[in-house]
Amino acid sequence: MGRRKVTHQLISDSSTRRVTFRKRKDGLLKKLNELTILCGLRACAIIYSDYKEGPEVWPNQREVRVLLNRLSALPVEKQTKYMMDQKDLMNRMISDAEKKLEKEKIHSRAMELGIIASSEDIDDADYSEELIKAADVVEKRIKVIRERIDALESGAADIDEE
Amino acid sequence: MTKRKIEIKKRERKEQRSVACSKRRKTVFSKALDLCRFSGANIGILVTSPVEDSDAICSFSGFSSSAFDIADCYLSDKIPPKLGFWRRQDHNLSEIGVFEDRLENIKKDLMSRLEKNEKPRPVSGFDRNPSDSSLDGSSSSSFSQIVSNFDQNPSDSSRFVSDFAQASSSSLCDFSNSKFASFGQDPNDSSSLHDIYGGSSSSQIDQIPSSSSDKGDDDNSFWADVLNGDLWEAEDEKNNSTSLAPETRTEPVANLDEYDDEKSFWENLIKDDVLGLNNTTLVNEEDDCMIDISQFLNEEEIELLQSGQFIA
Repeated sequence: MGRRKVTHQLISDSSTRRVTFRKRKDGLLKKLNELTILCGLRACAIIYSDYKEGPEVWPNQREVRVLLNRLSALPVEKQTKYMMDQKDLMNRMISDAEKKLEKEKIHSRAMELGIIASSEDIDDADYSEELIKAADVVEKRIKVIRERIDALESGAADIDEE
Repeated sequence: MTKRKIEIKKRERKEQRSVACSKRRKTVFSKALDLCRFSGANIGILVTSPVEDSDAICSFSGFSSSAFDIADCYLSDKIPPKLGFWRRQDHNLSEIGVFEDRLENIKKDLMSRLEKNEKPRPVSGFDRNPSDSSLDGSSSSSFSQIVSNFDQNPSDSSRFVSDFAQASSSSLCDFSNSKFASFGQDPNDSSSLHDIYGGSSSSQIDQIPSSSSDKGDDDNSFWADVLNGDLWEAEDEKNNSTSLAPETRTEPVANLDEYDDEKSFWENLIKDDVLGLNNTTLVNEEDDCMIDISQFLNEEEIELLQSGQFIA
């Protein structure tokens, strides 16, 4: 997905950078707008860029004021509780991706065991405690097959009776 | 993944709202992050909580310490400062001079090594089409320009260099995490490394055997680019002073107390594997193209590297 290769760095070509800025900024504001509508929240964005003197504000100055007042009315701990900056976000995304990776690893492990269980080369398997898991998988498969046999037999019985 | 259209109006149930909020807030913030990184814009976003009676506010900040600061500046008509190496007031000239000297030494060292490496090694079979790599077509030509100043076979050199750059591209996203990425700066700030190099390095360049007289400037910009981490994108020499890797927070750029000449900037890069040189599966099978970075380091330095003292 995505046509261009995306690397998280400043774009060196200045015209591309400008275009990217414009496109992504529009996309960002659109998403922010949707967020406010769908979830019934209040939000604001302030953007300082090199392409415009002074800040660009969404939706309007009043909203910024309102939200800022709200924020400053909070006690300090609450203020900083959900405050994120670039680094925090990136770290969070990294750890999310790592967790996903772990899950996928477990999943592929289970599949591997499935393969072992279905073939009979258990001698190849070097995994000690996972042999138990493999046995578990085999058990489940046996159960499934038994159920299938039962279903077929009772189905066959029905057919005979007709 | 199937895209399901959802009508843009308020979600009916509280749970729906909070689920939508957490997902969408995440994407909004990550898109804001992308915007900051790609264009260097300083962005602040404030979002309230979907739970009605909660007063929590989530915020995202691009280049300042918090969205609060950004909003504050906005309302009081100031411009929020971006954090980074170039903004720190507490540098003194001696610190910076020390950086400069070290960088000069590294540069000199590397250039001479490049010279040595190029002569016996024909970089053959490296037919990587420039448009396949993350470099634009234009970049490889400017590379050839720079590199043809090396008094070697120009086409081989350019491949060597673009290979070098290709190698760096894959890991360069780590660059901004390393200590030295705090060389990043506001694109408008033209007091760049370029200037530092331009000033005093001409004498060093003369020592390098192969040279044409106008080599000095191009090399400056080349190395400025390497350090600034832009080697891998469309490279326009003219853009050097304006396109630099962004810095997120002010970190102490270098712990100067533990500094000694052995621990060079370059080794930090290697440690972070910025140039992808530790990854032997990086390019094609032609190992001629690969630089064995241990050539650059003596044993002591390698030990230091491995002792893990260079956590960025």
